[in-house]
Amino acid sequence: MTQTEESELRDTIEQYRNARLTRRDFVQRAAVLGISASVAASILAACGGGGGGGGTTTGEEGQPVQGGVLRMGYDRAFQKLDNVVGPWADEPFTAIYEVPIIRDPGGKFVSSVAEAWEFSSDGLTLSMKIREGLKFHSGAPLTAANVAEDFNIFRTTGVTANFWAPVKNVEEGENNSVVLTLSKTNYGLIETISTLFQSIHNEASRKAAGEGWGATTVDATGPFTLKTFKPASEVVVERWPDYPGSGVPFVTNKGPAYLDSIRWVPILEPANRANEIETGSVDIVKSPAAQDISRLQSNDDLVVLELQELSNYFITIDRTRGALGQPGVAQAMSHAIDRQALVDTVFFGHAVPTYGPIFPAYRWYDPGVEAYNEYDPDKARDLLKSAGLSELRFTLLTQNQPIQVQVLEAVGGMLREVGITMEVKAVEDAAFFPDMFAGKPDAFMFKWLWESPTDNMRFFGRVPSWDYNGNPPKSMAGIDAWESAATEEQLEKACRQVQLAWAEELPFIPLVTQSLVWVHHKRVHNFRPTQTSIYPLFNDVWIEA
Amino acid sequence: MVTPTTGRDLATVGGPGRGPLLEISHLSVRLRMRSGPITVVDDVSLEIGSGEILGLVGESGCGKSMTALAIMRLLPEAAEIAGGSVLLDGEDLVRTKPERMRQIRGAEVAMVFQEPMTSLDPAFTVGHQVVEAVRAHEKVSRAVSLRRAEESFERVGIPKPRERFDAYPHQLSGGLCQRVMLAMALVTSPRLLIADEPTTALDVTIQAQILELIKQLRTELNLSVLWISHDFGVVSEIADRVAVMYAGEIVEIGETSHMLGAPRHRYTRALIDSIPGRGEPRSLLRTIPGQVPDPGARPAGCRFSPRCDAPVSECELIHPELRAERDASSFRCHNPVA
Amino acid sequence: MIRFVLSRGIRAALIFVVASVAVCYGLRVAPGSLADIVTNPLNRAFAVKDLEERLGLDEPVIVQYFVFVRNIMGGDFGVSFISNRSVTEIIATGGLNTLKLGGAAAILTYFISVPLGIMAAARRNSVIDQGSMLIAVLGMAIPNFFLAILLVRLFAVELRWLPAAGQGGIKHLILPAVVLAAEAIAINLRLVRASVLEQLSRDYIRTLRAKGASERRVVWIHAFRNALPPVITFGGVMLRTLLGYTLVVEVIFRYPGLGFELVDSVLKRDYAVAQALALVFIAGVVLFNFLADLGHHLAEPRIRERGAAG
Repeated sequence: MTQTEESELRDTIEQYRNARLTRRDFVQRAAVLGISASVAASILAACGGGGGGGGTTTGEEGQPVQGGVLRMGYDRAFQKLDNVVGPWADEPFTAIYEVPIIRDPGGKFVSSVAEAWEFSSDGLTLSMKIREGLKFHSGAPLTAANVAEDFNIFRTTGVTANFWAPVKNVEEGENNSVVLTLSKTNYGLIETISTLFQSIHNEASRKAAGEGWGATTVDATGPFTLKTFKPASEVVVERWPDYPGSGVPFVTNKGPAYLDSIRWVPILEPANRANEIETGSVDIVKSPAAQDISRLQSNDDLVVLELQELSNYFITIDRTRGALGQPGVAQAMSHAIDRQALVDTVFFGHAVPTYGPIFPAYRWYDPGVEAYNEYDPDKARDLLKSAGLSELRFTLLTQNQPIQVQVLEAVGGMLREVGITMEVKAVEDAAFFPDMFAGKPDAFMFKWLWESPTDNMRFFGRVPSWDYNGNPPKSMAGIDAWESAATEEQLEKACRQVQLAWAEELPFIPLVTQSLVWVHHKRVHNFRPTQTSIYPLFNDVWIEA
Repeated sequence: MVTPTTGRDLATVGGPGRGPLLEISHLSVRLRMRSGPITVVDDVSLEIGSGEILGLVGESGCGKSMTALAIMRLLPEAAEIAGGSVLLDGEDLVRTKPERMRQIRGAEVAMVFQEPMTSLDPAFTVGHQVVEAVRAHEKVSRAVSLRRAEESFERVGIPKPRERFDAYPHQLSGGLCQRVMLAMALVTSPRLLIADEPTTALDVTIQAQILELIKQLRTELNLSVLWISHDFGVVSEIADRVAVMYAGEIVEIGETSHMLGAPRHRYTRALIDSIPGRGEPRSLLRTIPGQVPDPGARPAGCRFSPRCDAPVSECELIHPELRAERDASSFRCHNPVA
Repeated sequence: MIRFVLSRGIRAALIFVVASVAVCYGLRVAPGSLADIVTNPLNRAFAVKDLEERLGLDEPVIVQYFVFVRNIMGGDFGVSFISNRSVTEIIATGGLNTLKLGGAAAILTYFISVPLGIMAAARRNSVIDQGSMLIAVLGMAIPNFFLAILLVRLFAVELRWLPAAGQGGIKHLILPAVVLAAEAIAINLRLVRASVLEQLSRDYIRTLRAKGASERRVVWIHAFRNALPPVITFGGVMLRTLLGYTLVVEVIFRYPGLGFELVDSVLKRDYAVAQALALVFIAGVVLFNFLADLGHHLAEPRIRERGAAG
């Protein structure tokens, strides 16, 4: 980038900040300067929204006011707020729980419950210093012993137990620290430890609560306490007045939260999420329907924030099944798919094409993946021909959700162009999961959503099994490299290696990453979702009376 | 007012210096049909004196009921009065305002119908329905209207009226229902009663009782009655005068006894001949061959000519006028019975 | 009358037993189980088995059924696995909300369809008649979820008169109640009109007019009274249909009633809640059928008579 271009970019960013440019204008100008849409999007995210119909940027201005109820419209049906074996970490997690280590907006690992951590020089011991003076909602003090106890639960029965496999032992160390002993180097453990399913809780309370854990009882360390849990209608949390303050460096409020309470309501119908934020029955919604986003952007009372979701839609085909396992078939399918068209038509532009397994806004994203899976129907036909296939027919299983079905309708049309017939069978979740994990369908589509993209590949490489996914040697080698990385540099290298191998071998075929769109009313301040976390923190959020 | 005793007096007018109670002149009723209007009552003129019983006879479909409904202004939606007047004591019912007409209905002109069972509201007790008739016209207390209803029940010969009050129509016999209908019609002391085939649906014994009752009430209340029937036999037992209708028009009118003895119109004679047990003794009842012509396809000449047993040449061509006789009777025939 | 109630009662009980078997069995043979929904894909292999053992889901369906029946007999409807709230409490709060919504819809239905239907019949082919028939056609033709979108768009988003969703005061009830009632209003409108029209052609109407009863009395009291039995009989069917539509309308309007809870619990395979709520809905249907019969029975003097005699 030349000097003039750089200053032009600075001007453009400045204009956007001052709301003289709309988001669309910004991305267009950035494109002229040779900046990819994904980078432009992350710049926008860093600028903190704005750019909507001449409004101001998000309210950093003004003194925070204590009090008020923040009303959140959630896009999913609530599950138990269970940090150990819960099926899903819903939005209230970041209000009531805290994780040991958290990602900052740039993706760096920073302190939260743990104030510092260090691998031994051989990489086989990880010591974590726990902040002093912490306590649980119940009033019980939180010490390294509690954290060690939690870690032992997580690694044996927790959701992420598989990722804890290299950890041999966890015990309380000196000086309020926790010591983890590993059987082999595994720097990636930090990635796992900073996910929501390692949120710290009081195990004694969890034992006492039994089946009520995450529903009637949560005893953790977050700035809010659980008040009401009626999953079909509302989840309410209240400010914890005794909160000792956050250890997260990018949180500015070091005391108890500003908000009196946060009330979540599930708004499952996408069209209703736009309606409800517009009519003011909620203050914030996540993921409005893509076709409503431009309307919301033009509303002066609202701020629309758009990030890349920590997710990816992908298709997996059964390589053990005759024609689907022929070399080149997955690549043929991948070349037949016009991902940009999916973005434009199904997502109204609120998504980005993905040519590798990770979304482009990730800090270690390797653009090298883009060369492997370009839209090229002729190449697709050639590949099918070299595989000796004149036609290919299979049935794909998916969750019965409108967006899934729309994506597959579009993909089906594209595949038909090169002579592949894909029949889609859409079923409800309860029917989808058992079949997917048993490897029953010829193929399936799923969207992963997880804070650690590479952990995700470690997992989905084995779903339903490596055999089903064709035992791709390079991808498996990349996963091995990730699992044994001893330093952050090695981890990054492994991450890039996995991405490129994945793009080449396609254990699953990536499609698109949808935008994570948050819409909040202007009277809500300091609502700052980051590109690196699934949900924002609520410590700094305040609302005008 | 003189209580009329003979048909002779009645054939003229109600009382000295006064017109008849009801005077229908040149009344026409049309049905609006998609193919154009059809005249179902054609230039009908009739008079009913005070305390007189006038019989209106004809086969079904000849316009009797339409005439009655036109008097009440209760014609079905598709029908309308096309001309003429209906003077009740000098007031033209054809032109009177709807609300005034409502006041006249029931209070001055009452009507009973052929099917007593279906003519009462099945969802309300008969007592309620009679009381309702009172209160439609008079602002009286419930107690007063109940007493009036009770009197009316007694008058029409319903024993233990109070016990019947709470009965629903379906719990009463047809004869009793017709008595209830009569009680309801008479409870407001109307001057004219229009009875449209009130006994047709009843068996012979009940029919005789009802006829007797009407005659008695006429005497007691000085009631005028327009008695409509297809059965000349019934009419001959009750009416002072008879008007015979055929195909929408009056074909003969005159004193009952006179007409029975010497009908002039051949249709009248045919009707009289079909009365059971009358005329020449015959094992089989005589019926008139053919049927009443459809209102839209009436013959150009005499409307009865296709069915007539003695047509002459003009019958088919010239529509006969109503000819008045010296005895105040008239008929419409080219070749009358001698 | 007693015999009538008794025979219907026995029938209802039988339907109930059959329904409880069908519900219990149906939920469990449907693909996927509670364990598939409430376990995270990441640790599924381990968690599903553990959960099934803990909740007795690995027992044969017949055993689970008898456990369910035994608990119900003891008045124990169980506890939601997701929320840990007692099912009795869920039924009580959700039921009250659904009752409010359904009640509002039923009131709306009759307050609109009855007067309008009568007026339409009394003034056949007038503007009122044609207008109400247009309402009837639209009400039947527009699917309720689509109507909901239109009304929310207009009255909530554009005009800002009413909230788009949620629960609160009367204002929150209006849109869902209108959507819920739309079809019932349409059907009732036609029914009332047709029934009143039929009565207006009856002989007794002529008698009423002949005795000088006012047109208002003729139409609004006598014709309407006699037009009632089919309307009342349909009332049962209508309430039953309204109950069914709450499943759609409550979800669209995020209204925390029984329909919302039922849909949520079935999708999550929260067996205790789903079973109990399904039975509550079936009880509702049985009850409304009974009320329809009873209403028909009482509205028609002749039938009442026969019932008393027989």
